[in-house]
Amino acid sequence: MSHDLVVLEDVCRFYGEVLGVNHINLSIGPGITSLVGPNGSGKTTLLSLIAGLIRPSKGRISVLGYRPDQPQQLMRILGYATQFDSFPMGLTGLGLIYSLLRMSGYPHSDCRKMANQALEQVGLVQDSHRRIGAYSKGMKQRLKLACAIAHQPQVLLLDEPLNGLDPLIRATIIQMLRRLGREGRHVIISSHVLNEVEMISDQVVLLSGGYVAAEGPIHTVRTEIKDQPMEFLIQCDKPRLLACSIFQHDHVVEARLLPEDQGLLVKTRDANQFCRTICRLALGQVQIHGIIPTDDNVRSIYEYLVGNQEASK
Amino acid sequence: MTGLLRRQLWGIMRLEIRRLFLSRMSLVVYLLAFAPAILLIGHATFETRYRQRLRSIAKTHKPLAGLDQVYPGMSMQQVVERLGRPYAQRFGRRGSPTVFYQYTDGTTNLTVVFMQGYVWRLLYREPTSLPEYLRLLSGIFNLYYLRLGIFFGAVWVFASLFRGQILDKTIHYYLLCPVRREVLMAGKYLAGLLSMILVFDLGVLFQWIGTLWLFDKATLAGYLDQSSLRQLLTCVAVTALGCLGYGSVFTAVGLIFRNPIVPAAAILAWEQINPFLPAALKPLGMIHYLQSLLPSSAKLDQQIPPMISLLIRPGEPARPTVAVIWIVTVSLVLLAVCCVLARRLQVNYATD
Repeated sequence: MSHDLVVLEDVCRFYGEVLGVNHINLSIGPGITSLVGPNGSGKTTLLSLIAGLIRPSKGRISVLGYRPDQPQQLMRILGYATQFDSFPMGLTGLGLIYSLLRMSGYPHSDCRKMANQALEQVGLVQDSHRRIGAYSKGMKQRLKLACAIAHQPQVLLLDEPLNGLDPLIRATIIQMLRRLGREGRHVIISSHVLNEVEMISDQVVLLSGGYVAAEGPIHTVRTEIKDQPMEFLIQCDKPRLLACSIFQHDHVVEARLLPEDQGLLVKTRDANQFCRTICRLALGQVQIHGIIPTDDNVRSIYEYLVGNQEASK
Repeated sequence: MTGLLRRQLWGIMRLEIRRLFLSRMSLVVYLLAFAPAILLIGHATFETRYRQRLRSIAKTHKPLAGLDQVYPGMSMQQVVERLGRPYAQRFGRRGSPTVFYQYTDGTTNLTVVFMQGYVWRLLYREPTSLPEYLRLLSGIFNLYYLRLGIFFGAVWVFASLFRGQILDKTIHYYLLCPVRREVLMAGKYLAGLLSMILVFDLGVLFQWIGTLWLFDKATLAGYLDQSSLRQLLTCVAVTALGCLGYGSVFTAVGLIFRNPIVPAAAILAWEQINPFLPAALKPLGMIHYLQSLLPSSAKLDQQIPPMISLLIRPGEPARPTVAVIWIVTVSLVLLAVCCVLARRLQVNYATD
């Protein structure tokens, strides 16, 4: 078992007869990895399996070499912010993190310092002495994050971490996650907000119906989807002429002029050949201002891979 | 015990004790534990005032003779000649020929009921003696405290140690700490046990305080010198053993069953029918051993109705050492089972 990877080998989990996840094989390295998929695709199940809150029906999981059934070791290097907004009753934000750190066995003085540091990172220091019952949804969300990062874990599991956060706080949290990713920690996020996933993730894992539909860096995943032509927006001075020239090539399946000279939208089956063709044309009569891939993003990948499967159900 | 383990145990207990003492759910436990004490203290307050009132009345309306000098059939005039004017007099409902005269010598209150001018009934209200109160305490402890109070308190506290937190979706905070599940189980159980023992033993003490409060120092000194003080200490110890035993049972129930109410009801029924079970089956109930430890249960008043006597007195009580060893052993076995169950515990709130 690798000591710097989160590894899932042929992991299956069933809830009675209901499929949670099936035949999951993943190796997740340092950086930010996003789990993307529709409701019921198995994102939370996967996170709970990694954290050891539930056990796999089949398969093996290793988190930096530790097994999830060894919480006394695993939880020292793992933090998990769940999707649940419930908290133990009667505690303040600071009191909760302090108590959890005490429970983990840290000495009193360290607990106070670590709890304050965590609250500072999520911008909750000023409200740390208020009872959690009086917190807003966004504050509770931040408190969950603070609980997860308080002991500075190497692996951070975050279930919908940006839910309910206002734009300013959201930016702060994204910055914090990026920093954690840069520091070489394993940050695994489950999210529905595809734009933000794209903004912060080093790689994505697309889940659908309990299976991994695709995984890897976003660009790599997109190039591996062979049955969906790639789409480019070309901005140039003579879009009509370019459209006529480019459409003569076999790899181009569609060329569409956008209104008001916004450019030319081209769909191609072979991105490399397309690039070579464009280079040749650019050396000729057409002056090309820019080429933008328009479907090399999480949303498109999600639509191609998950949308098709959802539609075919 | 290593320093880390000690810190972890204390960390868990700290959070749990806070939860158990300060949550709304603890009100039920307080009510179960302190209800008899509240009633007894309330009674003692009332009784003290009543006795003071009788003493002050006796100073101004002292009877001319002893209160036992009147008999049924005497005329109103004869009664007044013998005891003097009553301190209070009232008449029956409109049209009724009944008249009530009240006399007191400062301790006993006598109500003389006249029917058509002649003594019909004599109602003496004498102060309850300390031994009578102690029998009452013993009855409360046997019939209510052991059989219902501690039982339901344990259901409430111990069955919710894990199940309650699963239902309010907070158990994952504990499971996500780097703590062995066995340590988590031990910490939670110890916190529940300490809270229960503290609350219910305080309940026992308050019951005794509420009762002994009524008596003067001389009576109390005589009582405290006697072996009767052992009764209090035994009640305290049996309460602690009851919390230990029922605590382990309901911790296991909370871990095994999604709805602990049904098994708790079954266990309650089993414990209640214990006195009526054949001798071979009696030792299978916790209540059998707990009652065997009570010295008062063997010296019951012969006037107690047979049904109640059966509930209070175990048929063939177990020897105290056997009873203690049985309760502790069963608790340890159940706690070992709980550790295994806690280790296998999975958190999937959607299905709970």
